[in-house]
Amino acid sequence: MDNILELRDVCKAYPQSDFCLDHVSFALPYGTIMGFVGENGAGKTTTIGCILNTIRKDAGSVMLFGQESKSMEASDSDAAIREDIGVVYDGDNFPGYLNATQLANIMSGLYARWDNALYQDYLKRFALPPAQKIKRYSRGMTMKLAVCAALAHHPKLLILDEATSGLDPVMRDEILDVFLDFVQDEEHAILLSSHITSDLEKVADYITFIHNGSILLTAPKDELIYNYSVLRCTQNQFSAIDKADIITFCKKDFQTDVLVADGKAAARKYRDIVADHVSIDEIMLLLVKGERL
Amino acid sequence: MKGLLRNNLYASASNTKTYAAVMLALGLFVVAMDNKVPSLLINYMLISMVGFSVNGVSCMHEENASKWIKYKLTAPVRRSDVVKSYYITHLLWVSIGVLYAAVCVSLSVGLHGFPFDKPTDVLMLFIVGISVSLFMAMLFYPLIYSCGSEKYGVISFLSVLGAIIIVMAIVSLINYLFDAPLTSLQLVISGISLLLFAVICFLLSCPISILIFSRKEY
Repeated sequence: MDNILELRDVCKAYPQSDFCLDHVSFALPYGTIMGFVGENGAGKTTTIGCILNTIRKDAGSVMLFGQESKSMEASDSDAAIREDIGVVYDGDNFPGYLNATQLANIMSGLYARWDNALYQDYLKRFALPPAQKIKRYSRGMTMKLAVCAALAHHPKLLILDEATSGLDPVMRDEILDVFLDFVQDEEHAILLSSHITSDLEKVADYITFIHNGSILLTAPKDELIYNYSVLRCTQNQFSAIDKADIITFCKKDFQTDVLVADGKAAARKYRDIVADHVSIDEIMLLLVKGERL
Repeated sequence: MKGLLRNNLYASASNTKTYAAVMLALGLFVVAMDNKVPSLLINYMLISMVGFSVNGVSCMHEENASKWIKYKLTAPVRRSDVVKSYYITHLLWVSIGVLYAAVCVSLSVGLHGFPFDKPTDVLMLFIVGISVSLFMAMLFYPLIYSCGSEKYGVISFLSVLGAIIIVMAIVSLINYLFDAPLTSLQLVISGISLLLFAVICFLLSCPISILIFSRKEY
């Protein structure tokens, strides 16, 4: 399967802090949605900054649509690449002094394929008043407007940085449906950074976990939900588990939770240990807080 | 570039609309007044030219409250075009300031006669106004990109102050080089030199701002 986005060993250090992106690598295939999960400060936004060249990477490569994105100063080819990318950031994407119509006037001058009719359709669909100043929009309305603007220039890749955070469940559901519609086209894909794992369980095809600037795990969502398990062990049971089966483990007062990749095999292998289904949330917690052998 | 220019105009529109309305009212007042003492007209000319430029740079401050600067960089635009668009917009606002000053002077002279000693005095006033505006931009944009738009207030104040000091220093140098009183030819040559120097500084400031902006991370 071809990849619309591929990161290879992307590194970025901040000398004034301890944080760094440490050889971040993952690939997003065409026609899929990847959930990019991590706690606050894990490196999601920095990674997206490196993809979009708003941040200069120290090393590594970013391939977009099969071409390497080279520098922060967009060359002509990079500008063409950006034509195919729609972006939504968390919070205020646009200045409050604009209204939706003025925003369209600006966007039509930035994007060669800006489709004003499509934009107006989205405004109607999301019930966004075109003449109202953005500063008078609610948070949900500004996020919907950002989604409208991101989709209205016919991008192939959507990069969404915490685009659903702070929205109520109804609004989140509405926006997630739009994303699902978008990837019906096999030429499209979405990188969706979020720490709301329920959203990702609903729409994502792949989940990539990032923690402290390092990628912990990339796997198909179905594999995580249906194959991965957490074994609830006593200390003695934990000692008996084959180390090769353990991805990570977390010791609690009277129990040790062990994350394993193949829950069914583990259940057969360790008949006296309870093997539970695991949610994306729990996988994230175990990966972030757990220990590795 | 078209989208960037539209963005800059929208950003400075609300402040500039108010300023334009005030300057229009003030201009009518200046025109209505007898211009035997031309200081009112002189002040109006300088305030309109410099004031419109100051309003123009306010767009950077307006954008700062959102992630718009970062967002624009994800669009198919070059960073250099983002900077150039601010310089072009600045020239537009200087032109509007010059237009306001020119209309006011023309009406005042038409109604009340010529209030200055020589025609070169009017030329020098325009040159001083334009030069202050250009020197202000020369200082403002590299500083705002270096220090960040959250320091907009202090940078815009320092830029105007710096521009006035530069112009005063050049005028003092001209007075030092030529024996007073200056002939009309000397005045014109001095004025054009001042304007040319301001234009060169303004143009040279643009690549410096581009260089600084190209290294900024958002």
